[in-house]
Amino acid sequence: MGSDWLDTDIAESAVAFTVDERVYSVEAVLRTAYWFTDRAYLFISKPGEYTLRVHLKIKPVSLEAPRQESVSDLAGEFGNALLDNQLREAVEKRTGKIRELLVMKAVAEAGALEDPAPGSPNDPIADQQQADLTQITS
Amino acid sequence: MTTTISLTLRIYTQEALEQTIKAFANICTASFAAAHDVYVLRITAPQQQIKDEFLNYALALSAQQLLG
Repeated sequence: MGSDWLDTDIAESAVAFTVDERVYSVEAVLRTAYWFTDRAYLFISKPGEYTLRVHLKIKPVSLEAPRQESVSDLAGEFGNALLDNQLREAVEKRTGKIRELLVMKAVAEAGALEDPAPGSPNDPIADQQQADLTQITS
Repeated sequence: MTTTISLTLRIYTQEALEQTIKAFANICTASFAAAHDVYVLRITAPQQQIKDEFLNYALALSAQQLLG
């Protein structure tokens, strides 16, 4: 990486780990990292074709976060959250279409889409024939 | 203290880096250039923590932009 970010890792409660992109998608890694940005400093590098390296450094104690977290606990939580996000992605891929259809059906049944379509739903020829008829009244 | 960091284009976006540089303009100076599949970021800040905050901010913005 060529920076002092990693050089100070050990001294400043930090950890770095490699993620295989063939197992975890970039989206899952990014989503997980995003959720941890309030608790840790994160940096992601790409050392190889199929690898991402996540550098995680504990934030210093502050009024907002008065308790110092353990770096190993945080790394473990990150791993679990990464797995969770990857699984959600897989489930979404498998069931996304069905979920969309169910939502559309529910919305349609609830009558939420009540804007009438433009034009007349009737047969225009039948309408014309009816208009030509003269009603005989006694 | 100046640091040079390579940021992969798979994770970090140009827009996020530009916004981060603007947001941190008062406390550090930074610039970047695209080179192959990375952005090479040069950042000068009085403390390491500012650089960490800078990278965290850039990562959060990139995630927001890439994930919608």
